[in-house]
Amino acid sequence: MADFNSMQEAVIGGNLPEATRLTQEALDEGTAPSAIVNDGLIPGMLVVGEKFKNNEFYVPEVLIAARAMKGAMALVKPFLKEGDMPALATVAIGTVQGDLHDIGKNLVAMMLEGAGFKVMDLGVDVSPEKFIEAVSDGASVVALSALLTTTMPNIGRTIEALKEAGLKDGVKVIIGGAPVTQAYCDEIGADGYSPDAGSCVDMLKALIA
Amino acid sequence: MAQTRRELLLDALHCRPTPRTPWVPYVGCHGGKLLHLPADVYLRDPEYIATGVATAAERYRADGLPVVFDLQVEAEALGCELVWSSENPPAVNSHPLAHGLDLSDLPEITPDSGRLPVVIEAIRRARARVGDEVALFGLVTGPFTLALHLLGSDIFLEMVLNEERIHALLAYCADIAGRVGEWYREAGCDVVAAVDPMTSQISPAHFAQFIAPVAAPLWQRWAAVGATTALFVCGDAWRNVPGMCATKPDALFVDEQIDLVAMGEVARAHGVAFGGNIPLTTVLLLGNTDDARRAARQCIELGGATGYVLAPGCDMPYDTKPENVAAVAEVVHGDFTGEIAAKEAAAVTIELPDYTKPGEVLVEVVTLDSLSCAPCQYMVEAVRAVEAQFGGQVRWVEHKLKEDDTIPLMMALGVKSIPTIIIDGAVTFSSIIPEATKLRESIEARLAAKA
Ligand code: B12
Repeated sequence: MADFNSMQEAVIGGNLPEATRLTQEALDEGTAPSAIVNDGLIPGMLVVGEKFKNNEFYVPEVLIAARAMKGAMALVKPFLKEGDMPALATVAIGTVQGDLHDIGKNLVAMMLEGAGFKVMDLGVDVSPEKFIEAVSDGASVVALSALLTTTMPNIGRTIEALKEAGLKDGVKVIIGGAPVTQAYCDEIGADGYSPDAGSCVDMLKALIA
Repeated sequence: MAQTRRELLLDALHCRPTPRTPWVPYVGCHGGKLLHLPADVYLRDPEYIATGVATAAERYRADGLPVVFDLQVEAEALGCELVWSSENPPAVNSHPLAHGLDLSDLPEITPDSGRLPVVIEAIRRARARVGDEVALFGLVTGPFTLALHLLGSDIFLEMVLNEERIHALLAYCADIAGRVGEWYREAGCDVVAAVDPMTSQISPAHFAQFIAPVAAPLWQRWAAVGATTALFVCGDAWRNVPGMCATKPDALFVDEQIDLVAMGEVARAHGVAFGGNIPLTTVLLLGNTDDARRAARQCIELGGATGYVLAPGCDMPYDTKPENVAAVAEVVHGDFTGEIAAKEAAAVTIELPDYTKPGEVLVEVVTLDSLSCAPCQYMVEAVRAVEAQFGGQVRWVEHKLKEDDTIPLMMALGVKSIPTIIIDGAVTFSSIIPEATKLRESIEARLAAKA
């Protein structure tokens, strides 16, 4: 029987050797790859999100946990059959034009990936055109991050551009970053907002349910 | 000789008592706005910067000012590429150590590297403009933030996976900061401060492991050349505040997420002065003058009487409304003209107390708040001491400025400064604390007149 508890602990503690060892062991024992992901790795990452939200974890702890998760996932992936683990959705995430803050955006990307979303990370200073391109390439969720009051309006501009391209109805737009609020989200017609990376996962799951 | 604003501020930064709370508006790229210049023009010209500083000193009646608020100066000098913007300081766009370079590959930094000559010249010229009246802050990129610029976000993983590399990088960055701070001091800055917003993103354990060992010697190095030292942290650094105070800069300046009362307790326990934290966006950028005054008063009240400096939470946005910053200055300098004009325009009035009661004199003390403003406290104590000698014939009340009815009362009675003692409706002592005998005589005269 695979030791899912220890696997979760290894992810939470950012222990890459332990996470990969336990994952390999479970694979060798014949544990279903999807069970390893769903019962071992993802729950670990969700705890990480929770701890970050509660200020028990800081940026380094989250990144190191995400690294352990990624390493373990790399072992499982070749064994996942088509349809075994359908991605919850494909998310194109980026920091809006003019803004180069990426720490928060990276954490959101990792939490989403850790929770089973497919993530296309477009980086920082991302123009509306690049988001449009990503939607044409298959993203069904657009995630916009802005940390500056001067770049926050570019969230609205990106949404407008999606509308003009006739793509807005087909996608969900979620937004965040320190100056962004639920009120702003409502005002500009985005679909979802969350104040941190941990709650972003729940928010997006509810949104696409 | 009267104390200069600069001396007042330096007293507070060394936890000595001051007659009022000193104030340091962080005019960074906002200086460009004051001169109607884009940030990317302003931040590259020493004459513009010096003019911005002099303009802010006058318009915002500052006790101290940063000369330049730009955390990219050192990074640029060390080879990071910048992206310029008209309404923000520039941003770092490339991280040399992430692309295969070692510390030994980075260029030697000198006072002629990158924009350092601009900053150093701006300090000289600003000093010539403001003379000894206003304190100047030289803001240096803090070691952890400079390390992030050089290495990029990998720094967070490397803190766990490659501790030695990060220790070496931080020692390097602290040495750069040390040198730049010395140059700024030599050019004429009174205070040298490390601005290290990145330290708000790590745990207390990592702060103790990586930052504290380089921070403490940095303050000592700057103190050795005669500078007053400070650490500025933008962002929610609350959990690292005790660790920061323990490194013993002269002062720690914090952002709006931090509770000033709790901050004050920690700082005072360490003998460190502290400053902050008027909200930038909600108040200074988007709020109005009433919001600015209210926030300033609240900070002054929470910050307390000694070892506290009023300041914004972090660098003021370019588009900050000048009238909001000026409104903060009014509060600092106990000037109510703007507020009185506003209340007059709104035609706010109140009912005055009955000043004609026989056998009783009503003494009203108008204060900022006797709990936080030292002169106000002395004024209240003076009244309290004398009251006891009249056995019930004197009743006294304190009107704190933050209370809704206080400004209308001041308008009705013609109170122009704070603190003020009003005896049965007559403004009797303003600003200067009366001697006990004088105060007693005034009350006796009033009682006699009523008899
Ligand atoms: C670290 C930092 C930097 C670093 C950035 C490093 C990097 N690679 O990202 C450096 C030093 C380079 C930097 C530069 C600048 N910064 Co800066 N920076 C910060 C600081 C201290 C922390 C930001 C951070 O990383 N937080 C940690 C992460 C985990 O939190 P987060 O980003 O908020 O993200 C979380 C949530 O918001 C949410 N979230 C984020 N994105 C998204 C997206 C979605 C879809 C969802 C659902 C959720 C979500 O989840 C995240 C995880 O929980 C903030 C202070 C603050 N109060 O935020 C200032 C701050 C953002 N910076 C500021 C400024 C002004 C600047 C500069 C313009 C100027 C300067 N002083 O040099 C430059 C601008 C560069 C540019 N053009 O972008 C201001 C912005 C003011 C304003 N309101 O406009 C702030 C608020 C500081 C301040 N008080 O003045 N900065």
